[in-house]
Amino acid sequence: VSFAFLSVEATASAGGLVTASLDVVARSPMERQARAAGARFEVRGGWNVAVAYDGEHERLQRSVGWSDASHLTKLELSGPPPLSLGYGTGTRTEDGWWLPMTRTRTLLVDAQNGAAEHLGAAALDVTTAFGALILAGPLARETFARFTALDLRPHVCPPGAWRPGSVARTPGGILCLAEDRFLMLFGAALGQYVWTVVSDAGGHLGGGPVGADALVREEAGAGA
Amino acid sequence: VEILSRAPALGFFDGLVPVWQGDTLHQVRAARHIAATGTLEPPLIFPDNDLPGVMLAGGARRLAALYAVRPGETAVVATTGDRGLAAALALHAAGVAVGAVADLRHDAGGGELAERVRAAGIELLPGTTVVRALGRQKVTGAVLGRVNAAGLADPATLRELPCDLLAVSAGAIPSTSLLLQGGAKARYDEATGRFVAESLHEQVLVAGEVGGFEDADAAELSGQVAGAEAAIALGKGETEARTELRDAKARLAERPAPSPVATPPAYARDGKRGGKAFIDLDEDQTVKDIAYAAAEGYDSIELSKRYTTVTMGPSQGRFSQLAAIRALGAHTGLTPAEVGMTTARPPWVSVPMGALAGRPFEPAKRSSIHGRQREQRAHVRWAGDWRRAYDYGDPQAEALAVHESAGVIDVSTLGKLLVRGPDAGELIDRLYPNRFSNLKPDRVRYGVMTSDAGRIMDDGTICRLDAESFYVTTTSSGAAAIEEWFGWWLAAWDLDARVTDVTQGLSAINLAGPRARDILAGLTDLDVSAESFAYLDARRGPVAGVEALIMRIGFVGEVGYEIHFPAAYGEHVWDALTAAGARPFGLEPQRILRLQKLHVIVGQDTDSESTPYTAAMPWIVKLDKEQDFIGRWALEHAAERAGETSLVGFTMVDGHVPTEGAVVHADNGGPLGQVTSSRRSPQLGQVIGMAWVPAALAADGASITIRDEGRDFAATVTTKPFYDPDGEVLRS
Repeated sequence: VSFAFLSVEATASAGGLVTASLDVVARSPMERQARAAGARFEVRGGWNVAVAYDGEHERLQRSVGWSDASHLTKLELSGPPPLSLGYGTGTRTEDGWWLPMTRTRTLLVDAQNGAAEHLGAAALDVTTAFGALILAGPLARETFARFTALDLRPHVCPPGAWRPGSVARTPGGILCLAEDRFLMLFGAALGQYVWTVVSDAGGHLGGGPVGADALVREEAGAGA
Repeated sequence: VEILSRAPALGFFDGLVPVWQGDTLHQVRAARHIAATGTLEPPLIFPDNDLPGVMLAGGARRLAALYAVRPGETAVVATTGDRGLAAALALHAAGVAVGAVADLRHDAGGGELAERVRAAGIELLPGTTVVRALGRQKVTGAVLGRVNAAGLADPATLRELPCDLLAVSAGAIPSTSLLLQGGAKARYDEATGRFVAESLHEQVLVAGEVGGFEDADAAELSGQVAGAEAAIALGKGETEARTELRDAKARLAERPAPSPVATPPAYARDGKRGGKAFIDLDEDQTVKDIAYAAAEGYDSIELSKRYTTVTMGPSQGRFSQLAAIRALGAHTGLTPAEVGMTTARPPWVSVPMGALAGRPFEPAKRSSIHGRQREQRAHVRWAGDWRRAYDYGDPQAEALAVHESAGVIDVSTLGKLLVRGPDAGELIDRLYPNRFSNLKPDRVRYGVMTSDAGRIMDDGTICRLDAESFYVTTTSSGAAAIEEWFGWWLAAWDLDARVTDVTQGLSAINLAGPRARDILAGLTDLDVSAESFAYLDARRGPVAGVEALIMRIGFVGEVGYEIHFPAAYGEHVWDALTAAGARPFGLEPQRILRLQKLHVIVGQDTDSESTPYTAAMPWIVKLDKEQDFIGRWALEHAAERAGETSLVGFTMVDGHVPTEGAVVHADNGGPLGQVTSSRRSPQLGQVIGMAWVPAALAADGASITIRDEGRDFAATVTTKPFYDPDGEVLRS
């Protein structure tokens, strides 16, 4: 059976060519807010991705930056996961981040090419069902503290910790990607709302939006 | 002028006034503040003053005069001023028998109100007050008498009067807390027996009762004076403001002086044993508790307060402070002025901690097309937890466009579940009274979900994608609950099926109208001819280059396609459809269109008692189904008995649009049912609606009477859709 109607990838790889229109671009639920904040966009993998903002480097160094990551592929697996997962812990493999939601429901986030194929019918593309923001910088935890009660202190939420729960009074979850770097998931329809909440909380701390490329550069810099 | 309603001021912090409104804390810094905080009516203190049936005269008056509620059958009123007299008259007018009014003033005020009380035939007892309430579980009577300065009654004057309502008033205390927080001084006014504020903060003006302006005209004039003084202080409209100030002051000076009041004793009593006299009903503090505090040496109100906790309850001394001061004075020999008031502290009203310290969160769901709809001048309203386009400025024209050409409505808010697995059909068959396991792939069927009790919970469509996959839509408001419902029963039955909620991942657009097919044909390679893509068929394929699931269904009554696709392409597909000629329409025109087809909205046209049988959908229940299903037992019983009421359509005879909720009534005036939906249909040129009526009236042509806004309107029942009753248009 074809579930292509669920998938951006299906349209990007085939459907979009039917009309040969460059306009067939997937857009994040926060694209309008990102654009209003001065984002520069590039089409990547069929998505219009906010890649850069002015002043983003300083935000990441001194305060907090948030980057729209809604384009990351997300698969939902029903049934027992194919690998052992600990409750409250995300597991990174070459397929992506495995995030246990319940004993029989798992999200695979940032799913890499080929993951869907080898997981077969158990996996469903739910990329567009979730909005995603990456918060990074020395004040990322402080920003979260202003809209969620999830305990993100370093000794209880180290890199790899996965905290499903209430985020700004909506169902969501937070994955600690690295020290001072977090991925937050939430319902896609709440994108504008969550962007507003994060902007309000982080803006008071001197933070602001950052592009996807700035995070890559920052990570590479930290690695170096 | 911005008016903040339901927004109390919490305090006065050196010019900053925090104002609490819902989740918002406004921080108001103004050059001038006008306080119109009114007065509070304290109770009288006497034995057994806590019995049910003892209430404030102001409350009794409000119930009778404002809400037409009689708080008792027989009342006795005890008062120290005109408030009690006014309450007595209101109770009398509401049909309450007022046995007597005990007015502590020796001449009962000597004014017009006293005359009106007498003229109403109510016994007025000047110089008298209540000295005991009678009864055990509730008030059954009151003892009235003349008392001395200490509150002890002269036995020769005692009278017992039966009553089930004892309305009491100890006058009116100015609500001075905000003024005192601003630095004003409290002064005990011997003439009125209450504390007033003076030496106000330079930025503060007063108006109304808190400033001693009692009647409505004086209160209004005092507001004009305060407003003009504030304007002059700010240098605004100086000439006008000065003229207004002069005129208002002159008229205010002509107003009669406030009516006299008597100062009640600290504790009025008949001298007999028994009965507690409560001073603070919040904290269960009595006259005796204050006496103990005084005997222990707590002779200051601040110390006594902390010893007894009087004034420290939820009402923060609003009703008890003055009584506590009088009682403490009575037991220490101090005057009220010497006892003094407790310190006024914010907040003036109870306020959630979240409003002070938290961030206000108001999660709003928006479809991926929301931004575009706003650009297209959509009027947006709340619909459950979604923000939705209600209309685009002309709902009637939008509805007509669907009939005459084509329209598009964003229905992304529909709940959407993907049910997969070998037992997917079994699961759905067990959850719905209809049969779905025999549904062929790429076909769609309407489903009504019922509770264990056979009552309608939700509705939507079920599309079979293949042997083991179904795509289920639910109502927008029911999405979360139905997903939970699926999950609960799946766990209970241990079936091999998986349910995935894709509500927020998919956009959905309903394209409908005589041009819908042509518009769709221009945007897809699929064969959308009537022969190849029939009513209740489903197809998967690209629309405007976007992979989509298209279901041919017709909620609005015209040839229609519901197009579901990844939400990330919402604006793209919407733009393609509108560019091809489809006019956006909102929720309001959709409601007109669906009403023409008598399509129900669950929760609006149905209630917690509605079954598929009473809601005129018996065909949806398949009692011959092999599977047991939720609500089967109840529906079997419902099938055997005719319901008392039925959901029908109606047309109004005279064109009046009845209020939704208006009563359908019988000739004798008794209620028979109610209107659930009503609209003016531009297509039909009629006012149409749906209503619950007695089953005997659920017949074409039956006449019903609808009472709305105090008038009766005739309507005619119909049981078939108003538009395209046989579905020929829909299926074409």
